[in-house]
Amino acid sequence: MNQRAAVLSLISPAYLWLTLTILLPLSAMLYYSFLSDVPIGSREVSWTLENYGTFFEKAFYSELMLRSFKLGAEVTTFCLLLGFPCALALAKSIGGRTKEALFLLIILPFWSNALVRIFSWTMVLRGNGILEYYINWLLPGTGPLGLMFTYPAILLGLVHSYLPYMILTCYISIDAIDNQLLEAARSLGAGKLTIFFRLIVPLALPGIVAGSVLIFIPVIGSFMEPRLLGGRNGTFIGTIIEDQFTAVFNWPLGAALSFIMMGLVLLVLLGFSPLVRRFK
Amino acid sequence: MASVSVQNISKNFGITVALDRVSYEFENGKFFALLGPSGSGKTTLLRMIAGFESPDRGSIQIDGKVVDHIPVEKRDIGMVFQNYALFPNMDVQANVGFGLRVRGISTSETRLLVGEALELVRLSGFDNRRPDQLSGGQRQRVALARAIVTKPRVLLLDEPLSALDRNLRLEMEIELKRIQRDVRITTIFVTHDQEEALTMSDQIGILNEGQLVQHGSPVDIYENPQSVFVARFLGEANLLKGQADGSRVNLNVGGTVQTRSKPASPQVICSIRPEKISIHKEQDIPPSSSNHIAGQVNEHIFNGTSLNYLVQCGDQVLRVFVQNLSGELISPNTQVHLSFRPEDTLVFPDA
Repeated sequence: MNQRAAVLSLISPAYLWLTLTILLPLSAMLYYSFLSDVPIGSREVSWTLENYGTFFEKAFYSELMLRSFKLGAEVTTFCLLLGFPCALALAKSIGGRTKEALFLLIILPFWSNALVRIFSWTMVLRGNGILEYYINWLLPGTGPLGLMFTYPAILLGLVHSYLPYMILTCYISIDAIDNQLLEAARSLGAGKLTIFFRLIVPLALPGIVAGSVLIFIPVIGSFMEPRLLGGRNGTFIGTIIEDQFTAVFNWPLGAALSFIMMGLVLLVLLGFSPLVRRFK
Repeated sequence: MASVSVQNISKNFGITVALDRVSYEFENGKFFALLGPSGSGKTTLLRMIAGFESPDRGSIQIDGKVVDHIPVEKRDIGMVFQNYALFPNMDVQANVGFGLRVRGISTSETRLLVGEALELVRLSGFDNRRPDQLSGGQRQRVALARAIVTKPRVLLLDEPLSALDRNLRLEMEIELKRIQRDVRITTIFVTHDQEEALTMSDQIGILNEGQLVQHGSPVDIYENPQSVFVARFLGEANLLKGQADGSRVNLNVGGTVQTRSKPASPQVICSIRPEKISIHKEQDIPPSSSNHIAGQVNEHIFNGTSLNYLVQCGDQVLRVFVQNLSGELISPNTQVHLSFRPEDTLVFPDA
């Protein structure tokens, strides 16, 4: 009984906080999503399912949703392809001060403001920007790159922002793999590729999944990178939702789109969960 | 099955000397124990034979062929690790079959060979268990089956029993020896446990501070240690300092003894195993051909099969093991004579 009280007192502050900060605003949003208009001043509002209906009526929204999911998948894939080898080297090949220094470099971007980081990308990518200048200096006659305000520019910015999550989560799970396992595999005649695909990847799967979830979800709802780096090409479900709140002032539609997005993300995660359980 | 030849191997890790000019021939089909305290270089030597470390100088041959530039995965060895190192993402079947699948052996043959190997380690029917569903002893058996199923040329064991509790360890010692005899594979076993080395191996090599200080059969090393270190490390020994006096030694604890060999330096250490000493009450006269020193019983420990005495002789306490023949204990504070044969009184120079 005493122990239960102790546990309760340990977890209740955090859960109270979470309840207040997540559940309250979220339920307010849920409430809005069923209203016909923003209930401010003397506006007449009524209950409606129209906001949810809009998503299904106009192909525009589902196309954008699909586009956002594709963006999420691509950013996650690139982060995995870049981050996993890096995490592997950090966990198994590099030690001591070098490792500490390299970790600092991974975490360094977190020290600066996200908005500043993305704006600095516009300096690099824009026409006559830093990247274009140096590539033309190295390879004269390359001409304008035309990267700014394109889909690749958004990818670049998002991969930059989210890569550390993948490196860190993969690092933790690779680091936990006992070196004796890898030695045992070698003693049994396994080459590097076999060890990588039959041992390291399956054993690091919890880290891969955690990193993917941490990246996939926010990328789908992202609006800052698409807006700043994508310009006219930067319309995604995240930017549309933001528009509803900041520009169009259609909070009910924004709220409804948010909940549809959340539901779809949950469905995707549910679809992947058997994969995770199998390797546990 | 193969012989392993280690020739003049040295290895440094930074400023620490791991191995210092070690040479040894591991003969085909025998069971070898590499015994030594931690940091003696025994594990380094094993890892070199496996190929995980490479020597700074010297060379290793397996079956007469130099393997120095052959990586671990091509050496065709089997290894059992201290923590078993079973693959947690695979069941027993996949763990044991791993080496076979890597070698491109068909699924049906793999299943057959895995079945045989599991039968050999008495784990038939455990095919679909995962490592975390097995006990320590069972994991040990799986690790062993996995190491021998590929019919490697050499089986290397890195303190494989150290993580087991005492009863299980004794059981596994017998099992390991049986399996080794069945498959007659050259086996090299690293341990810091002298009992394991004595009971299991055909040959023991004793390492200390990177050097192979003595090697031979268990009986040979036990009966004829060539240094104080070996006498003390393998089995128990009472060590008594003294001065050489011709062919005799005047012990610092009192008394003059005849030794097996002539003392080679003026300051010496005599070593007598506790079980080679017999204990007599003062009124009993010990045989005159034996060495004898006087003492007083400090404590007795009754073990059932044996009686252990701690006997105060001068400023030293000697251990004496006596078989329980009479059931009679000599009580503490009794004056006694300890007697032991000259051939059991080994003498070493006192460095």
